[in-house]
Amino acid sequence: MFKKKISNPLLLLPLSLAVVAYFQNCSPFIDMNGMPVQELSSLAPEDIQMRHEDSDQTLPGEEKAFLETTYEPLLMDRQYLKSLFVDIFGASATATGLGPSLFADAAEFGSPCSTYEDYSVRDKNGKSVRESALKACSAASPSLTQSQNIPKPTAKRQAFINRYCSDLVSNTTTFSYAMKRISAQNNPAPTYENLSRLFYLFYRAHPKPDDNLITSISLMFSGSTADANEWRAAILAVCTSSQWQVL
Amino acid sequence: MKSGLARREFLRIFSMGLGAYTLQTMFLDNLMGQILNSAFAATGNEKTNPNKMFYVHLTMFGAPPRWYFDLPLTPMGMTAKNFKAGSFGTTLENASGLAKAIYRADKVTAAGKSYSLPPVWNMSLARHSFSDLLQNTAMIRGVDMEINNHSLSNRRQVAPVIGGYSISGMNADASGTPLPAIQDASGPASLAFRSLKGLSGTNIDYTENANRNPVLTALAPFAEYRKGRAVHSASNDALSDQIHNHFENYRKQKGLTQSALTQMYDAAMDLVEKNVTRLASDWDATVARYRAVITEAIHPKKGSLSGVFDTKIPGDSVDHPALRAEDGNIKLGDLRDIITERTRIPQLAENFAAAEILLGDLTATATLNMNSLRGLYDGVADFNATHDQHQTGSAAGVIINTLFYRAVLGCLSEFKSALVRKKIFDRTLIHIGSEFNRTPRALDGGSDHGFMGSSVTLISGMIRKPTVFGNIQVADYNNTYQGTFGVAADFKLPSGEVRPLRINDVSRTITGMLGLQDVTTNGEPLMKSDSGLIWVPRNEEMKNV
Repeated sequence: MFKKKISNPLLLLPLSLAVVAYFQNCSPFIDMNGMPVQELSSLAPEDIQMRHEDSDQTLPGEEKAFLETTYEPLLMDRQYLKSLFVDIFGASATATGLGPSLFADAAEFGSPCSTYEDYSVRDKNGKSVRESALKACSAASPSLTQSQNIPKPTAKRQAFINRYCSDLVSNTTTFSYAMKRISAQNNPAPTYENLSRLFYLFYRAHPKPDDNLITSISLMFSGSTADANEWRAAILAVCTSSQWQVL
Repeated sequence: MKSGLARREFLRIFSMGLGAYTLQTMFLDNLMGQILNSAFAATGNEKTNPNKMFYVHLTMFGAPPRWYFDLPLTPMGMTAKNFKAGSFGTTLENASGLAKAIYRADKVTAAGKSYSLPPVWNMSLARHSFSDLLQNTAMIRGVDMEINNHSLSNRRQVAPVIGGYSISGMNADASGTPLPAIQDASGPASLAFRSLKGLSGTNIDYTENANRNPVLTALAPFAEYRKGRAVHSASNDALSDQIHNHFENYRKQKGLTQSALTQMYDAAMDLVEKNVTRLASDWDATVARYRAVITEAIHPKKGSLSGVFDTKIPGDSVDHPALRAEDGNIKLGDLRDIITERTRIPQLAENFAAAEILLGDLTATATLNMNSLRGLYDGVADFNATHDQHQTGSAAGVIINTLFYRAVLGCLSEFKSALVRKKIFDRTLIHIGSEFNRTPRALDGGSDHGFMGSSVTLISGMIRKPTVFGNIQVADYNNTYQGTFGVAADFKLPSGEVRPLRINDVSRTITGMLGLQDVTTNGEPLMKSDSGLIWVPRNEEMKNV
């Protein structure tokens, strides 16, 4: 294609230098683990300094400028909730009280259409009948099809949970199952250990609470011994405390 | 151990103090509003917005012909020189023993403005004159939908970008009501709900033969459940509140960021304590009111409704396309006998009733479908009308569609009265649409998808004078669809651009009036705020034809 050949190799030197200079930063930065570090193109070079979040080395008049990443905590969807409640209250929890409604409500509890599920829809006479996932998802229910993967905190969601918690502690079978998760004894004493077990039944993978929180649950008990209704109230208080819903 | 007043305890005392006030029924609705607006953090991190706007989308899935309703072909009068009648009409004539559909427009005046409109606007019911509704009405005709698809275009009415955010979702985000939105699952527009906050709507779960109360179903999570359960003694609940305070401290100390969860607990319990499910007891009476309106609208007396039901029109003289229904010929000596005592519009009364009851403090957004007439008679057997009227002849269509729209206008008038009583009509926008208009077939034999020109009606207390936007043209497609029936024509937009209207322009008009973030990246709003909540055209209205 070229009509003339470059005869003098010295002419290539300035061009080569220009190319090297221009592309000298093309290679990715490598961090201490050998992983490439993405260039922070939105920041001016002077903003990119190594700082520790807890550092007090900020000079007077200087704003701390460290990178912030916003994130939204994930709330348990209906499948996670089902798994947790079954673990705490036993398999019959899914059929107790509001359980069937709660675990079918993708609009409030997330996890929309899934081919893993059996769906039921209402026929023309209002009777609940089984429906294939594809058909149920495609048209029968906006709450299934349009709901979000990640549920949001809403008054309706919490109302469901409040009532469901009450259902579960009021039901002898599910309450007894939960009590066995706390202690092998009948109506165990509200000791720090037992109340801690109650806390961690719901607050799994959460930070260790202060003693004050565990002690506060003992408000539900009139003394060092306990009866079933006091434990019901204690479990209900933790169940409705709501922060455990954060994954 | 108690330190200070527990959060829930404070709210309980607050509500007890107001409890006596609630005994006065006349102040009940007002009180609910005050409590809900002040004390509830209903969704996300925000409290219920006291200045929230109300959005009601009424869709007609199937796309019925609109020249009977909100497609005025000659809004400034029948003298329009470019008008050319197609194979359809708005009234009936007995043409030598044969039913013939003739296009007629009636002059209707409201708020000092007159338009030639389809005859249904000149009709009335015992308690409702439709011209009263007209003063709050803006019709947008000649909207090029660009896509010939029922479901997609039906959804695009609320979410014009396919798969994008919806007007209904945005309004749910902005309102912060305990029920973000209500929706009737039978229309695709409900499926288009998409909110920035990731909220979801609540289904109005009604089945015609099941005698259920969908308001009770929608509010079921807030039903009182504590009575009779020992675990819910007053002292236990108070202690539980104190324990929750410690959990709230735990949240703050450990940097858990879901403060909204705590707010939601308070909001949920307040709704239970305020006994919002009592609203479900209004269901039977409210439905009955709308059913009475519909019954009156679709069962006119013979001799009434000029050009539609006033004279005997032979229906069995010959096999003619104008007399066909979707599934065959109509064999009636009198075409008016197509209407029977079994004729009804399923779920129309129930949808309006649910919206009337729930719209206000509990929700600000509704997406509802309006079904077609059922229980019609063709001389041999019952049949159901459809909105997708490919085979419905022009003569049969006059009766079927005029009575349907008469019922719609009756319900809208009843609905408007309810919103006025609730003092929210000035903040409400009712958006009526379907996926597209229709193209009439030759020889009066039905109609096909008229996606080249759709219609939208907006009804609101923010609109104080009747308005018609958009232009249409005389069409002649392949010698099949001839005449003036709504195909979009150039329209001068506020920016000066001249082109046919698109659904994005409609969408921006609506989001503008509701004060919402746009859900499209283009399009021009057709209305502007004149003073406060009164909206007027930004530019010119339509041209005749």
